[in-house]
Amino acid sequence: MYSFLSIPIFLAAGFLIPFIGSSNAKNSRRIALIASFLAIVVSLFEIPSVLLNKISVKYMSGWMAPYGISVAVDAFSLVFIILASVIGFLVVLYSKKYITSWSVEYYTLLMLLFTGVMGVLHAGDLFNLFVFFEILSIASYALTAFHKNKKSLEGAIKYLILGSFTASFMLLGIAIIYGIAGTLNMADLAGTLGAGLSTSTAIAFGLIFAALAFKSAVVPFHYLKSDILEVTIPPVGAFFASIVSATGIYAIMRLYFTVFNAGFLTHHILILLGVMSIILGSLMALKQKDIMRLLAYSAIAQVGFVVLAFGMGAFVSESYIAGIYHLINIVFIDALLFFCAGVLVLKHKTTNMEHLQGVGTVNPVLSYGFLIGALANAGVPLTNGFASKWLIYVASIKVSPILTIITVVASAITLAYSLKAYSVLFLSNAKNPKTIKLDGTIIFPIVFLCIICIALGIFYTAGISISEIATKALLNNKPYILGVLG
Amino acid sequence: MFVNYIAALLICIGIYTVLAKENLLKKIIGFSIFSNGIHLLLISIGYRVSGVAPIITDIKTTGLSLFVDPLPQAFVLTSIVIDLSITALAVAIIIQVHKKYKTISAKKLDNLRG
Repeated sequence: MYSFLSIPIFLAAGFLIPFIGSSNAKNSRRIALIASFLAIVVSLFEIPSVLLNKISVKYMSGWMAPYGISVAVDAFSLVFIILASVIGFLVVLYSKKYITSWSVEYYTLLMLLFTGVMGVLHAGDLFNLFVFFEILSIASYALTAFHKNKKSLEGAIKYLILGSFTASFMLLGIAIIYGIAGTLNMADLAGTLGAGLSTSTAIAFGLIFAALAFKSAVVPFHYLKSDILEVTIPPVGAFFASIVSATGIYAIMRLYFTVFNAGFLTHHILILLGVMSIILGSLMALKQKDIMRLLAYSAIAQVGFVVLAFGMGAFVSESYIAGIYHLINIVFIDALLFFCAGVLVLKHKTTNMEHLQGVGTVNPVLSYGFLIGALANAGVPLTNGFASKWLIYVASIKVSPILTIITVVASAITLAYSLKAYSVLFLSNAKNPKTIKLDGTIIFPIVFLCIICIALGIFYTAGISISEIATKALLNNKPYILGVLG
Repeated sequence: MFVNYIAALLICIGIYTVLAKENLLKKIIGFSIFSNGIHLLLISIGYRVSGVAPIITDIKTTGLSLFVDPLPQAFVLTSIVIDLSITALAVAIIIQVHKKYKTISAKKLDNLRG
């Protein structure tokens, strides 16, 4: 049981940075790098014990499960823990060029954001999930306001009011559940609530779902995602679009399958929300003139694919595997696209695509990186997006051909707007091209993510078998309950 | 049960204030009322009529056995701290918004569209 150490590591780094970084600003970046590297190491050390024992549990200060605080890691959460630590490391690495001033504040907030993400992924009871969710949220409000210009302040205050408002609904749901069951430990709840939803549990689940769906921008809770991603600095935007969304989906699925055993009706709702996200995200991305908004709506559409796949799982069980595989893939794809576009945004200080016309023509690394990301986003063969989208098509045709038509058409639209963005940024004639000096801190994350996108596309069986292990852990909650309660 | 109705009333007032008021500060006040309503609900869930404070005593000598559930009180304390930090951050951002926009009306913040 090592991976829960990533929570105290990030928290300690967050507290150390203001003390050590205030004398020498470079140190704050070094501490952040060391902390996020240590997080990767401890999460990788977790793999053998999870594969061997199905689940590894840590009881805080020795109080056993339903009474004390416990953190529990199984294969499903471990996948996201590793993803979060890897993307977190890349984000810290990539931030070097962006953060020339205010670096102490920036890295402190980033460490607190990582603490929140890791806490949500590890949490073994609902209240700790809520607390870490709030830590994540508060850090992200402050990071949204980082530029302190008109637009970012507007985005931050909107995000703060709506975000804390929806998070309070989550607390309301938790209060209702505590009133019904008298416990908040996830494993204990799963036993107490039993199979199926009663009316009051369904209301509570709905309230919690709303708060989590707001974070991962599932339609109809999507309305701020594009605003936030337009105004944040690109490294943070990459983290919001990929890991924060994935964390929200993780928490929804953990509660949905492990705790509530939500019934047949809810699957229809998931399919409906997924289809709405796909249609709205794709169509809105098509009309955007702002590169960051375009990528934001693209991320909403891709999350819709995941939600749709989870909803279809009640009818076709392979669909769960497709959903988890697609979620893993879009984390890498979104991060890659934001990293590539972010370099141009940094250089030219604008996110408007008309002003960014052709600015990337002189940079082959960015150009190929964005192209691979765009093709993978649309699901072109030999990329990871294709492998997971293919599984979703195959599953959807067994449920309803209409879903297949919607997903295929949405993928075609994705190709259209991704290539539009690519051709505007990297192929058209530039008015004033500036050569951008890239150093290792930018090239390494982009090349690394490109390699992963291609590798998961060619060796898709590896990706599918990882997703299969995670799916088994997610669907069968018996080992989780037994493991936690002992 | 009387407390539950007051909690429901506070929650409704809070939701209405957040949604209907234009002024950002009033929205924050509404959020406070909303979350305090939830806190009241949580406390009332843990309350036992004629229960005593949840401190372990010798039951044989005192004859007390009905304790108030301490867990919701711990939740509420944590949640109050979270609300405090959210309110502090919100007021800090509202001050910055006022410096840049010269207004704190939510309707006049409309740079982000599309």
